[in-house]
Amino acid sequence: MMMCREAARLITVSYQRPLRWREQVSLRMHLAICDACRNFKKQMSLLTEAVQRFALQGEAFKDLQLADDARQRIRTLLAAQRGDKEGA
Amino acid sequence: MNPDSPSTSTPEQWLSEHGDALYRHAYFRLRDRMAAEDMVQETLLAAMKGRERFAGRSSERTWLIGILNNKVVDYLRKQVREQSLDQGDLGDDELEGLLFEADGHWRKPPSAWGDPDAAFEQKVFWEALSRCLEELPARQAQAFSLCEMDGVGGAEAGKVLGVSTTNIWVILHRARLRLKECLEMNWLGQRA
Repeated sequence: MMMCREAARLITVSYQRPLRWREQVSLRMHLAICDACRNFKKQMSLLTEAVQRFALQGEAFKDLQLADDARQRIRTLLAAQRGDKEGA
Repeated sequence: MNPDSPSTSTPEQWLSEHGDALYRHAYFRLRDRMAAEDMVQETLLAAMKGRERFAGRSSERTWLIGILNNKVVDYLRKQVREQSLDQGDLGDDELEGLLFEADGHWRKPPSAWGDPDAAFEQKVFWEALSRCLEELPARQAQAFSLCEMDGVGGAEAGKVLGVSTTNIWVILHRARLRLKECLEMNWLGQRA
């Protein structure tokens, strides 16, 4: 009989690969009798959708900025490459 | 003409408009400031070379992010080749041990989080999610962003990060458990 730890792993991996028939059956049987894992499954579904939305619209590390010296270095390289292109 | 068309923007404009966003995007995936700076540099240089190929169908930002994602993958692959670390050993992650009893039951049964749309309307939810994603350990952040945000498959992510596909799944599982716990603490305010 499958325990929650294993059910949780199957729930996670189902987002990466299709479950084998045996895995599907075992998981379904476990979920039929386990509230906790049913909640976990819904949590994972919410998390997946949230992360996909975040990937499109969200931005983490909002206070992080490209350092001035890095910015200057990049500016110089861009100008140099444009110079190369125009000179060619 | 599309005002975002790169034929009217200069690379310097790309840097000033998109530089910080690209940097954050790269840092999120690599968790290394210098590497993230290099990614911005490589991206803008590549964009400059390839600007004729940009048809103006997506936004400028989306186009640059696409180039950046490829550069990030190249960088991660190169890290694996150059470091030749044994990436196979994942070590212990205490979290799974803390969440489950020895017999495999949840120590604390997961609660119902309710309707996703209700959650998505809450500013505190997105703040918590952002913070929780930021707090992922580097390897989990790399795997999770590749697979769950950038659409890279598990096997491909494994090749990029130098681990087996099975280990990628273990890393993703740990990331999800960690995000779950973090969200409960920071969004729902529950103590573990």
